[in-house]
Order: sequence, then C-alpha cells, then structure tokens
Amino acid sequence: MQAQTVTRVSHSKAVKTDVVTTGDVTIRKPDYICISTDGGKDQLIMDGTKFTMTAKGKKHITDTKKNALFATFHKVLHAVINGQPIPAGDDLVIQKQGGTQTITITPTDKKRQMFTSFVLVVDSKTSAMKRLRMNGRSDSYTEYTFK
Amino acid sequence: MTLFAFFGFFAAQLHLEEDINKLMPSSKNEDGTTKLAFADLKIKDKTFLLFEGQGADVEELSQACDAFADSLSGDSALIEDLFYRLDEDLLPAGVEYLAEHLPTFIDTVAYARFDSLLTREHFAQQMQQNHDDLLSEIGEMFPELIEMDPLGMRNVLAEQMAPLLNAGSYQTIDNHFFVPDSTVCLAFLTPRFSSTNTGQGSALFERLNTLIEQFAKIHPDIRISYHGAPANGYYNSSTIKRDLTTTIAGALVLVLVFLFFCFRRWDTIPLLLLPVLFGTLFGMSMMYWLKGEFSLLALGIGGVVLGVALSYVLHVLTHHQYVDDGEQLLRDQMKPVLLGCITTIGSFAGLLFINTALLQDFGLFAAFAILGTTLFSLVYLPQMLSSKTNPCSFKWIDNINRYPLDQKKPLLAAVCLIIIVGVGAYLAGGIRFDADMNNLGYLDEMTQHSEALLRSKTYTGEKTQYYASKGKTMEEAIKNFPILANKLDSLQQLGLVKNYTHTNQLFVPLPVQQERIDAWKDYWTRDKLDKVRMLIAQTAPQADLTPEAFDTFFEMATRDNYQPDSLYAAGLIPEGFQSTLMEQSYDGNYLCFTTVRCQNDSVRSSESDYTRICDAIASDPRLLVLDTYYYTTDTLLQMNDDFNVLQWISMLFVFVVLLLSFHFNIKHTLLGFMPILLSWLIVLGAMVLFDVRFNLISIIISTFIFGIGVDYSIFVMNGLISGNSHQLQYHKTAILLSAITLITTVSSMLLATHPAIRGVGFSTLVGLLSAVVLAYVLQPAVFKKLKI
Repeated sequence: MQAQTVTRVSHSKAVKTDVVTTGDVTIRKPDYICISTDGGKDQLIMDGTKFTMTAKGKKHITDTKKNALFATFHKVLHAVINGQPIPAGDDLVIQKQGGTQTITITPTDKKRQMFTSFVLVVDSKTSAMKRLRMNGRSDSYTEYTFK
Repeated sequence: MTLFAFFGFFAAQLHLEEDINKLMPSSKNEDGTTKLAFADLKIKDKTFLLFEGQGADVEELSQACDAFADSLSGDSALIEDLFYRLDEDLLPAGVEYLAEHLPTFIDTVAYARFDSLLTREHFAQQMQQNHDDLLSEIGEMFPELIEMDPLGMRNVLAEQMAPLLNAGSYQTIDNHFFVPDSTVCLAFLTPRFSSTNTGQGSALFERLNTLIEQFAKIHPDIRISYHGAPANGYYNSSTIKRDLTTTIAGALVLVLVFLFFCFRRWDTIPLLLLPVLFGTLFGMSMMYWLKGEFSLLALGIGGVVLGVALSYVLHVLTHHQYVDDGEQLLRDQMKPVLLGCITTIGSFAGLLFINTALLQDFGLFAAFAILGTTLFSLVYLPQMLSSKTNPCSFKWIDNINRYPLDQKKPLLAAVCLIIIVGVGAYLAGGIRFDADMNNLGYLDEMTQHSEALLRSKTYTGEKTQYYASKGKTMEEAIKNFPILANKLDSLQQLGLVKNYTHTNQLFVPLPVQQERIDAWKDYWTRDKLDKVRMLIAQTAPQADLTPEAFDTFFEMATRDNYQPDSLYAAGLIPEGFQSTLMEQSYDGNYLCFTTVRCQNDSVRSSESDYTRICDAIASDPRLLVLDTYYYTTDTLLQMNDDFNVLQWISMLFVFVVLLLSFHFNIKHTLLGFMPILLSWLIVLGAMVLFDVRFNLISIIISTFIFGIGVDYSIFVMNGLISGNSHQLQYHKTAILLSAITLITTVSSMLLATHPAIRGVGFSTLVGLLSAVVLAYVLQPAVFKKLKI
C-alpha cells in the first residue's frame, strides 16, 4: 500500500477564485485508488472496475462496463499502479518529455459527456503519479497534484 | 372410426386462444367504433421487477439489478425493453438539448416574471446564488447551466415545471430507480408480446422464475419479485391448465372408477367416453370451421358441458343394463334424450346473444358438443352395445329408488321450506352482479407480494390512474393534451384531482413551440440585453464571478436559428421512460398519457371522485380513461340485464318445447317445468343468502344448471307419464348416476386454485342438488297428489 498527499484544485471559468483542498491518496495493487480531500467530502475512488466520485458529500458511481472513457482510465491506472506499460488505444495519447510521460484520454464517442478528457502525468521511471487533471464541460476542470 | 378421424383432424387444427381479454365485453362509441380496446394498449404490458433488500444495501441492490439485467440481455426474442438504469450520457445530452431549445420550454406567461428579475437588487442576490450553484455538485458537472442563466430564469422554470418534476413516485440513486425509502430497487420490463397473449408469455416468465431461483442462491439477502398484467395473464393461464389437469381430471378418474364398479362391465368406460369424445371433437371442429380459434378458458369451463353430455350417454347405457333389445331401448330413450338435447341446446344458444366473445364461444361449443354427443349416443352407441344385460349391478341404486322419498312428509316439508326460503331470498335480495372483472382473476402469491410491496413503499393514500389524449399522429395526441389538462385543472380546482403529470410541459406542440421562440426573440430586445450586461458587470465581481463567463447567455438570447423540435423523436428520453408518457398503440393510434392522483374509492360508486373524473374525461372522444373496467362496467351491467331477459326467454322456449312435447297438456307441461324453474330460483336465493355475487362465469354455469334441470325433469316426467314403473326406475337410476358423477366433479372444482373455477363450484353444486331432489321428491309427489 502506498500513501501520498494530494492537493485538489477545482476550477470553473465563471468563478474567479479556484477552490483548493488537500487530502491524501491510498493506492493498493492491483487496481485500487482512493483520492480523498476536504476531510472526505470530495473523493475519487477506483475499486476494480467501479469508480465512485463523491462531490460535496454526494456519491456518483460509474461502472466501466457502461462508460468507455472510464474503462480506458481504469486500464491506464491499473498499468500505472502495477508498473506495467500503458496499453495503447484509439482514445489515448502518450507523450514523453523529460522524466515524465503525459497520458491524455479523450472519449472517441461524439456524444457530449460529463468529462471532455483526462490527463495523467506519471514519472517515467517510478510510475508514480504526479498530476491528474479531469477536464469538464465549459472549460472547467479538477486537478489533483500528488506529492 | 372415419368420423372420429375426420372430426379429430379438424379439432386438432383449432387454435386455442389464451387471450384472457376475451372475457371483456367490447365497449363501443355511438358510431360503432371501439371506445377502448384494452388489448391494444402497450402500456398495460409493463412488468415491474422488484429487488427487495432483506439486509442488502443500496449498492448491493443496484449490483444485483445490473447482474439480473445482464443475464436477460440475451433474451431479446422475449423482451423488447428492460429499463433499469439511466444512461450516464442522459444528463449531458439533456443539458445540451435544453441549451439548443431553451425558448421552447419557456411558457409565454413566464416573461412577466422575468421583468421582475431585471433589477440590481435581484442580480446582487442572484450572483451570490450563481456562485454557490457553480461550486455545487450540479455546477461542477454542468457549469453551462448557470453560465447561460445569469438572471435566475431557472427558478421561474422550476416553478413552472414543478408539477411534472414532482409527479414521480421513485427516486434515482446511482442511476438506478428506488422507492422513496431506498429499500427496493426497480426495473421496468416491456415484453415483446401483448400481455393478453399468455401463450407467448409463458416462456418469458418461466425464464424469469429460473433466473430468480438462481439469484436467490447467490444473493440470499435480496428477494426478487415481479408483477404486472403480463404476469397475471401467465399465472391465470397456467393455473387454469393446472386445475384442469389435476383437480378436475382427478375427480373424473374417481367418477370413472365409480361407474366401472356400478356397471361391472369392462366396456362401460370406453362406451361412456366415446360419445363424449365424439361430441367434444365435433364441437371443436365446428368451432374451427366457424371461427378458427377458441378460448382456452371457454374450453376449461366447457368441461361442465361434458357433464350434461355424459348424462345422455348414462341414460342409454343404464337403460341397456335393463333392456337388451336395441329397438326397445331407442323407443324408450329417443324422445326424452332428444327433448333434453333440444331444450339444453336452446339454453346454451341463448349465450350467443350476449355481447362477449367468451360467452359466445362457449355457447356455440356447448351446443355443438351436446348435439354431437346426443347423435352419437342415439345412432352409433346402440350398435356397439352387447346383447347381455346386467340389471343386478344396479341393485343398490334400485333399493334407493324404491324408497318412497316422495311419500315422506317431513322430507316434502323440508323441500318446500327450502323452496320458500330460496324464492323468498331471491325476491327480497334480487340478483346481485359483480361487474368488477378483477375478482375473476387469479393472483399468484409472488405477484401479490410484489404489487403489495410496491404499493406500500409508494403509498400516498391516493388512487393513481392513467388517462390519455388520442390522435392519429403523435403531434395530434400532443395537440389534444391541453384539452385533457384543462379538464384536469378544472377538476383540481373542484378538489377532485389531487395532482397530475403535466406531460404537455415536456412534449410541447410544434406551433406552441414556434410561438414561444417568437416570444423569446421579442422579449430580448437590445435595451434589455444592455441592461442585463450592465447588471452583470455591477454585481458579478462582488460574488467572485467573472462577467465574461455569462457570454453564453447573450449568445443564446441573440441566436436566430431556434427551431421547433419533436422531443419524443429526438432519441433523448430512454424508451422505457418515454413509453410511460406516450405510445403508438397496437391499433395504430397515438396516445399521450398523464397519471392522475385522486381520493381512493374503496367502494366503486358513481358518486366517487374517481368516477366523476372518468365521466368528465370520457365525455370527449379525443380523450381516454385507461381503465377498461370503467368502460366495461356499464356494458357488463347491461349484459347482466340482457342475460336476465335471455334466461326468461330460454325458460319460455323450454316451456313451449315441453308444451308441444306433451301435446298441449298444460298440467304435464307445468309439472315438467316446475323443477327447472324452482331449482333456478333456489340457486338465486342461495346466492343471496351466502352473499355470492353473479359474475361472467356464473352466467355460463347457470346455463349448465338450467340444462341439467331440464334433463332430469324431462326424464322423470317421461317415466311418470308412461305409467311404467320400470321405465321410471331406469330413468331414476340414470339420473342418480349422472348426479353422483356431476356432484363429484363439481365438488372437485371447489378445491381448484383459480377463483373463477372455484367460484363455479358453489352455485353449480346448489343447482345440481336442487335439480336432483326436486326431480326425485317433489315432481313424483305432486304428480301422484294431483293424479294427472
């Protein structure tokens, strides 16, 4: 089990000041991650193929069987946690720069979704996660920076 | 053999229709068109699947629901749609649709409210609200909803849409449907067939039952159950079949064993069954040639006809036990058997004039089955009989027959008392008819549990009923909906309607959408937009908002490419949900639904709120009450009146036939007629005394009681008039055997599971016993007393 601290930044185009909260991350092999901030009021949990997002205390569950974007996200996180190569995919772009690799997942489905893309930056050598940005609608985003 | 093969072949071609809806009388408009054909409605086919947590939490229930749905994914031949969760794309797609068509959802009356929003005070307040909303869960997911609405139009729209949004009885958790206390997860299944087609339904429900058993082992803390019209149809059909093959068949075997021991001849049973089998094949062949199909329920209840048919065969076979001369046998039996046959056919034929397919089917089948059996009994049966008689076999029956029951005064007094009580009860209570067809159906324990569970979890103490506007196109149905809404609004003001689903707020007629688009364009003048821009600039920064974020609003206010759009055709609303709001029925008509809540009427009456609402809606031909019982109750009551008249006409027919047969001897005719009339009145009186109401099935049975009463009476009269005590004895032996046979079979019906078959038992038993006792005791007593 690994434990890291995290800073969460919630940005909305309309709001001048971003909302910043802190918390911690728990990672367990083979595919469990819990990013918890603001005393657990905001959480992002991947437990197997199931993602649970808690915002302001309200839960939202996504099953990767029903959501292609989260299915790819699960594959990527699974590879990162287990130190495996990132699997290739139509909805996935990997850029390597310096000691990091940036993985961008963009849904191929033309239908509008809650998230427009996920960007994950990991350390090329250690596979440690450095930053995760979940881009939402109308230029809003939530960004986690791991330390 | 040739005839058996011939009629057997065509009988096998007959399609046995399991459509329980054939019980329903059709209700017509004045122009002859059908008012509401329940079978045509697709919405009735919905089946509710319930996942009840018995210790399991919301997450486990959702997972079980998903797994169950996945298991059914390969059954597309049986299932048209399974609506068990909201697609995750639904909300984003809905927000996008709203952004593209916003003006079409704003009622023109809302613009007066918008005027009051264009003040600095309101904007200062609203911007703070916008800030909070942007940081809320919904704001994080869909910030554009706030960005397109700086002035808070959404609050006005929420008020406008409240009746639509608050109408549901369920909540969604993790995209799944739950009852308010979240202990039951729901799924809505639409079969690929009509619920009245119970034949095809069997495969689906057998599959569901297998899956439920498997899931019960994997998830012992979750109980899965289901209910709905298709499930009720399946359980009704399978219960009738089970009753026919177990209870009644068991009784028949018992009866045949009894008859075998009475006759003590190996060939009795085949000879007894051959004419009945021939009659049945003949009746089914005639149904095939005349109609091509036949209701399974009518065939099931038609089993009682075989009792009358069996009675004729018994007369011939019993007579043969005493008389070995075939010609003598025919001379003695021809007249009473033919007379009994004609009068019984007459009483069954009366059913042809009643406006229900089931009763017409039954009447036709019964008439032909009796005719076929009688002809076989008189033409072929005597040729098959051996020349050996065996009168000793009936010794014990002869002893009973010799006992002078008609001379025992206490017995005569008791019979007279029963007649007086029966007739008195009938005159005091009359005939009470149960027009509620629901009471005829069988409800399985599991479907009952499921229905009661859902009702208890969503119970508001009020009645919920579907109503609809109708049209040749969906647009016409939507256009007609405001007529329904106006009526419901008036009824709501009167306090009769508690609330209803404003489906027209979701599906707006295209011309109205165009009016709304024009109103939007007219409202957002340059001056107003400048004012909004100024107010945003003044108030947004104070709420930590950037004024530019609201540019989306100005884009929307100045857009000139808004077009009316049919939301129902946009593919946005899940099929499983849309089908509860509108449908194209099987008959091609389009319906737009609303659910109405009103006071619960525990007793249906013409003065109840529900009936008054139905009366108001049904008065417009463009609107429908989706309650077939509302339309059929009047028809059923009318049918009952028709039946009463028909019953008396049948009696008159029998009277005339008897009069002709007895060569206009009025005394003989009246005495022959007496048991028929009295046994019928005793049945009616007993129904009053034991609070048994007449229903559609009792009508069928009454014709049977009538037929058997006619039969017994004619044979006894024939024996009495002949002056030959042996002949009377032979007839009485046959009557006793017939009565024991029928009473055993009918009593077994009391053990049946299906209420319609069980209900048949009581009145039939009373009728049979009355007919036997009157023919055995009263008829000879009066005959001897009057010395006619």
